[in-house]
This record gives sequence, C-alpha cells and structure tokens, in this order.
Amino acid sequence: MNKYKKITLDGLIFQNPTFMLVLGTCPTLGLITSATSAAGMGICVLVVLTLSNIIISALRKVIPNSVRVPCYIVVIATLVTLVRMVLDKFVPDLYESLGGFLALIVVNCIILGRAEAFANKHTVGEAAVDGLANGLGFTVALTLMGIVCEFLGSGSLFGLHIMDFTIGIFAMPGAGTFLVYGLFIALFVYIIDNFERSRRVKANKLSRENLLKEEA
Amino acid sequence: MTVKGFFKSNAFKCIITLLCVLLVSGVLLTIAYGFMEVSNGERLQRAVKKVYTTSSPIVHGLDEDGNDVIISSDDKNPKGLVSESVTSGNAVIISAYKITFENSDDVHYLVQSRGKGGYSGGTVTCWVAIKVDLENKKVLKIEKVQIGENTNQSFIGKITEKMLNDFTEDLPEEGFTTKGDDATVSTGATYSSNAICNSVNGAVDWVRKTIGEAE
Repeated sequence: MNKYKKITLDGLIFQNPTFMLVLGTCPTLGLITSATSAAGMGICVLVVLTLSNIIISALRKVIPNSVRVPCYIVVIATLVTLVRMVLDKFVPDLYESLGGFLALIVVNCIILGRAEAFANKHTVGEAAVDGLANGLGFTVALTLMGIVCEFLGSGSLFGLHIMDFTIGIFAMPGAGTFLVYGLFIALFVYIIDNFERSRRVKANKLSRENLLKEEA
Repeated sequence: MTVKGFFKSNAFKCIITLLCVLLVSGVLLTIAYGFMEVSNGERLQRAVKKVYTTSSPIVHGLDEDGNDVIISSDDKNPKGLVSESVTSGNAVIISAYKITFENSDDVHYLVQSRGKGGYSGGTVTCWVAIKVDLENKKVLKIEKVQIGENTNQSFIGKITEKMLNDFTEDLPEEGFTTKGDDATVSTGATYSSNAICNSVNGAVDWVRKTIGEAE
C-alpha cells in the first residue's frame, strides 16, 4: 500500500485519535453539546497539529534529544496562541464559544503524541499528511458527536432550530456527552472489527483456494 | 569542566537550541500581536452590535474629566459611565454606556449587569438596553435583554427568546419577579430566570437613579 495512503487511513480510521486511541477526551466531552463548537475545535486542532508536525519534523535533526519535549511545547504553545489571536480578531463568536478549551490545545495529547511518536521520526511530507489525517479524523469525530448531542439536547443542528422536543442531559457537558461518546466508540469499534474480520476471512479464503490449486 | 569544554558540550547546545526556539516564538508572537490586537473599544463595539443588530448605535462614555465622549473601536481603554462595579439591589452593575442613534432622537442606556440568585449561588450577566426620556427624567421601556456570561447555570440554554422579549413588553414599578409570574419564568431554569430578573431589575434601578427619576 502507498505510504501516504496508509498514513491517511491510519489517522482517519484505523488509528483515529478520538474513537480508537481515545485521546483528547477533555475537549471532546466539553464541546460536543454544540456541533458548531465541535467543528470549530476540530478545525483548530487540525491547523495546530499539521503545522506543529511540519515544524517539528523540519527541526528534528537540529533539536537535541534531551530538550525535545520543551521545544515541542514551545512550538505548540506558539501555534495555539497564534490561532487564538486569529479567532479573537476574525471569528469572535467561535472564540467565545470555545472558551478555555482553546488554550488547552497546548496540552492536548493528540498533538504532543503525534509530535513524539511520528513527526520527529519522519520526513516533513509524511508528518504533514499525518497531521492532516489525524486532525481530520478528530474533526469528523467531534462534529458527528456534536450533531447528535445538539439535536437531542437543543433540538437544533448547527444553531438552526429543528424540533421542540429536547433531552436535558445532552444539552450540557457531562452524562449526556459521555453516553454519546461511549456509544460512538462502541459503534466505531464494531464497524472496524467487522471490516477487519471480513478482510481476514477473504484473505484466508483466497490462500485456501491457492493451496487447493497448487495441490491439484 | 573547562570553559572551552562547556561551549562544546551537549548542555550548551541544548541551552542555545531552547533559547533560539523561545526567541523565534517570541518575535513571531510579538509581530502577530501587533497585527491582531483587539482593543477594549473593539470588544465593546462587538458587544453593542450583538444587542443592536439592526440599527447603528453611537456609544457614549466619559473622558478623563467626566465629559461625554463618543467611543470608537480604536479606543484602547474606553471609559463608561461606571468607573468601577457598583451594587444595585441583587445585581452588580459592571459597566454602562449611553447610546444615541444617527437617524433618531432616542436615547438608551446600555447596562452590563450581573444578577445574583442563580442556581448553586451562580450569576447571570446580561446586557440590558433601556430607553429613557432625559428631559422628563423617566425610564420609558426596556428595549432588549441579551444574556452574556453565566456561572454554574447548567440550564441557561432553556432560557427562551420569548422570555427575554417579555421584559420589553411591560415595566412593572415593583420590578420583575419569578414568583407567580409565568411570563418571566422559563421552565426548568427557574434559578437562572431569577438571576436574569435580578440583573434586569438592578439595571433599571441604576438607570432610574442615574437620570434622577428615583429621587
């Protein structure tokens, strides 16, 4: 399989940071009550993750091993501060709705995790694709859960009112968001498991047919 | 370790690398801040625009000598009618501004008021736009109530637009209350409704005192 295709599929599906690795749970549980906030948070993480992966990968031969983590933190904190400034200036509504979670991207395990596990061992191109794929995986996961929570909790989708019937626990971070997150993980793992199983069965069948052909 | 040895050591390389990364980050952020700084005047204009969505208001504050001045979005530190927070009934008045309009003689007071008595001892901060008749020293009506921040109000999402609009229909002398008055109670968010009522009552009381109606 093509190297870049594998990195993309891993980040989006097979190593999805939200559903498979269960990383970045703090902003996930805190922001999925609104689809807009969830999508906004996802895009911010996508931008920071891609840029930090690129910078860290480019500097991987310059930064001494013993000070790599402080350097990563400084790079990530700088990018997060820049994103905050841009949002505050140009998208103030989103900036207000994300609140403290925006600053907390600095300590988001997905970003530091990808920097440590991937970016400092791979080329700039691979690191950029990894950042994009993981960021996109995180954004899609958050947005899907945000749509469900907002629909059930507020009877709306991306702020547009749809129905009057609402269920209170989905309207605020806590039990409702936890429940939705758990159900989504279960559903995602079930689908991936079934996919892997059918792929294994197909591969076994093919190898058995080959064996029979050889014996014949 | 000799001085020469130190300059050749890994420790020196680490220090220099960290300092370089910090320096580049600092310079980058300083330049970005220069371009993207949001002044207090701009923040105030944004808050005012959220309240007055259709009209174009002119915001008035006070200068150093206490004279009326128009606040623009370039003002670094605009001064409102309240220099520091004041208590008004069950609310705290955080800031207040006089609002006039280009195409009308209407005068409003826009008050940022933090109402107490919310759920779990929390508060709800509202922007309350109050129409006044300065010549006759009278509060005419509440033009709009807009919810800003809140603390501990899990059910603030249940406060409906209708409830906020109800404040603009009538101005009871004794103030708004959540007890036995369905118009100002939002189902499932009684405590938050209470804090909003306190916020509105505090704002109206403060404006009455300021224009001299209460004297």
